[in-house]
Amino acid sequence: MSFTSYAFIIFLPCVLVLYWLVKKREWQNSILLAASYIFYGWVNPYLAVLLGASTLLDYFLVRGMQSKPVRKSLFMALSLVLNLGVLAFFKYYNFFNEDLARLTTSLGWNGDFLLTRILLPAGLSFYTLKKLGYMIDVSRGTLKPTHTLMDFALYVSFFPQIIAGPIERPQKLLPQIEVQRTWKAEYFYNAWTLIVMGFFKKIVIADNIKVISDQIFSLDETSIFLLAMGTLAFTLQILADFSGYTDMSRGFASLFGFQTSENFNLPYASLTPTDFWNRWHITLSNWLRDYIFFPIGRSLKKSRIRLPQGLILSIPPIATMFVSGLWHGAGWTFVVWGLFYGVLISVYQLLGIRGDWKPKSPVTLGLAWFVMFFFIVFGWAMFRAPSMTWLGHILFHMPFLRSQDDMIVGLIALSMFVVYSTPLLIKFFLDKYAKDGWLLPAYYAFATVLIIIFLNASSPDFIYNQF
Amino acid sequence: MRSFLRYLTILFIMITVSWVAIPRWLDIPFPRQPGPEFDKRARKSYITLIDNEHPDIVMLGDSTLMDGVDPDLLSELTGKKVSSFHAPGSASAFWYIVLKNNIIIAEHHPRVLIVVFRGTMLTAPGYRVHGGYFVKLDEFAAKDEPVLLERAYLNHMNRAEIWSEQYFPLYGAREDIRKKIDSRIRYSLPGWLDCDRTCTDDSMYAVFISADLEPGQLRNAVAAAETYLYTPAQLDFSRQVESSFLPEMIRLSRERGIQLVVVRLKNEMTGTGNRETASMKNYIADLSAYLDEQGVVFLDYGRDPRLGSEYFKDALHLNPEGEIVFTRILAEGLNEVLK
Repeated sequence: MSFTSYAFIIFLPCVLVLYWLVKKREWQNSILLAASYIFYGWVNPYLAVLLGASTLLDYFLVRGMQSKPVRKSLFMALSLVLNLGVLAFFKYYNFFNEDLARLTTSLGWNGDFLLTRILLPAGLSFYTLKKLGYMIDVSRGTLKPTHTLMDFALYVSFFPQIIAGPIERPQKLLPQIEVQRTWKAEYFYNAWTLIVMGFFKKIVIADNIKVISDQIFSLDETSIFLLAMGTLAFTLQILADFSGYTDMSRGFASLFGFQTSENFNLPYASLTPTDFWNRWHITLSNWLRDYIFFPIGRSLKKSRIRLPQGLILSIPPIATMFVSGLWHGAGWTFVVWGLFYGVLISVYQLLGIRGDWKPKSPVTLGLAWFVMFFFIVFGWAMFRAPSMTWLGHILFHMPFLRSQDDMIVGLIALSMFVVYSTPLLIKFFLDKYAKDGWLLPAYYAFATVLIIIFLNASSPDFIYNQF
Repeated sequence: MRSFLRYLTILFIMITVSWVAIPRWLDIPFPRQPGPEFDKRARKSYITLIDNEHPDIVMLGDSTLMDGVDPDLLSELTGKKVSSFHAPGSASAFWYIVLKNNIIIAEHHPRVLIVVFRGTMLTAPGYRVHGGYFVKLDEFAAKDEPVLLERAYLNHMNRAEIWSEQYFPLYGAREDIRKKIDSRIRYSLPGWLDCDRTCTDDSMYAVFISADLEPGQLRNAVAAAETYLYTPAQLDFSRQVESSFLPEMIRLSRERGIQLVVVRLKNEMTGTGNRETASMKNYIADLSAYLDEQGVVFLDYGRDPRLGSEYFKDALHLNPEGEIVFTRILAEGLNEVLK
């Protein structure tokens, strides 16, 4: 089920009423758990079965860790193999299936059955990271595991977060699941602005700017100028789409009395790549930092082989961002995009520019912002391109402008970028300078009117649903 | 709390104003008829064509018909005059409206009407009826088209949507408001460079419509669009058939004394061809029984082994060699019917 579907408009109030009607924590959690599985298995019930089976498995592996602490590493290794195995199978099978079929046929077996394409279960990448974080923390002894299967299952499947995060840490969500929740009006007052902004960003901004960026990226070849304008449009689309989803997710969670993590903090205002990853998809960045970046850094420092300082600084970000690229999908575009950020972070670090760097001179500040924004947009070109060959062909073989037509269409894309990013800028200034008063409520009312105007029977899926 | 009340107050005022302002601004009466509005003109080009050429066989279909059947060769092989009315991107709603407003209106009436389809197109009345497809439908539709409106649009809307379209101007007129916003964004900046609307539209056409698409993206776009035809709801023949255009097409052909022949062309998409699923097979069995009952000839080449993958230029369309092969196969089948 999608947040922007009609089914969800009926589903949400029904669950809310039931949830707040019951007073006992166990009942509330049961209702939320059932709702989460209905939400997740709405289109394809088999997805809910997969989610349930993998949740059960991890729950019992944790129980195993507790009952037999000597074999903790074995249980942890099992969980890693199973979780990463399932993730790798669903994510990368389609990438290799044709080669596999060819191989089996060359060995004399009929490999036709291998050609069947497998659909990636929505949210698998997100809930796998949630579960892995839980398992690792329990095995490290930094988290006391929950003894209730229902609480653990709800932590994994909590419906506002199941499809595309935020990748909530157990330390934040589990304590909220484990306590009694009674209705407070502030839950609603925290939620409504997030929900309005979420729908506004998705329906009004992302779905409209998508039209031009999709068209440009589906061309067989195009000029560099048009590619740049299409990428600029995509830069806005992906922010509005993903942050809109997160706003809705946080708003819906708040309606049930849960406080969940922010995922975005003005990412396009970043001055350095580390700064960008501290502001973009924050929960994924934190996950990667804690479970990949830090362990690699620590093991390199402890290593008996003496490595040059440059390598010690470069390997962790490059490896981490490589994993981030792989996590986003099977395709060279994602891998290269991840590596690009890894190298960029390393270069900035080697130049002594850390994540919290902020130059005093406004000229340097402006220049630093411009350079970083250029890198971000260039990164999105790789991320969105149909293939690296396609991107390479345009960058190295196509002229900057082919014709007047390219110029006109590029200007249309630029107009769309300016028009659809303006509401986000206005919101930023209103949040900063006009928090009280009538302006902000008027902004939300205007946003609601625009949502009604741009409402479609079938809004396209959120971009991050595919990961 | 205060902020929320202020929001509600402003929203209430804006909606109240829109109730009065939008009908005046856009000159649309409210309550209005739900669904899209067709203009008064209905294109009659196929009537002229039929009356001038007097074909024995008329074929209706989308681009797969265009690439799949050579009308001249078919004419030669069957000894009958053949006209092909292929409209790329068309589907059952379009075929129905061309049949109703053109083919049966013509003075000359062909002996056979062939409809070429794939998947569940014949019983998917809501397929290809929005956006650019609506423009095509509107060309051949008259002002008042109750069957088209109901089956292609209203049946796919819930009650809240229908009510909102009728009584809530902000929602009911949203297509028109969106067009106005879109044209402001689209034409403003090029306008400053002395590129007017025609010049801007021509540039859009040159860059997007006449250009080649990246093959992978094209494949994905086609696959995404085709997925609709293979959903469990669409594959439920008995649920779909009565609300589709098929019964109307059968009735109109029968009343005009035209033999309707339905042809399923093979394709390489998932769900058909070599990878036909069990539900697709059931659908085709139900369709076949229904057509037989209605006296409609069904020529099913959906699994024909003579059409190998070497005859396809992409997942849906035959290549020039495939066109010749399929035209010969179709001629064989038609000659049996024409006996």
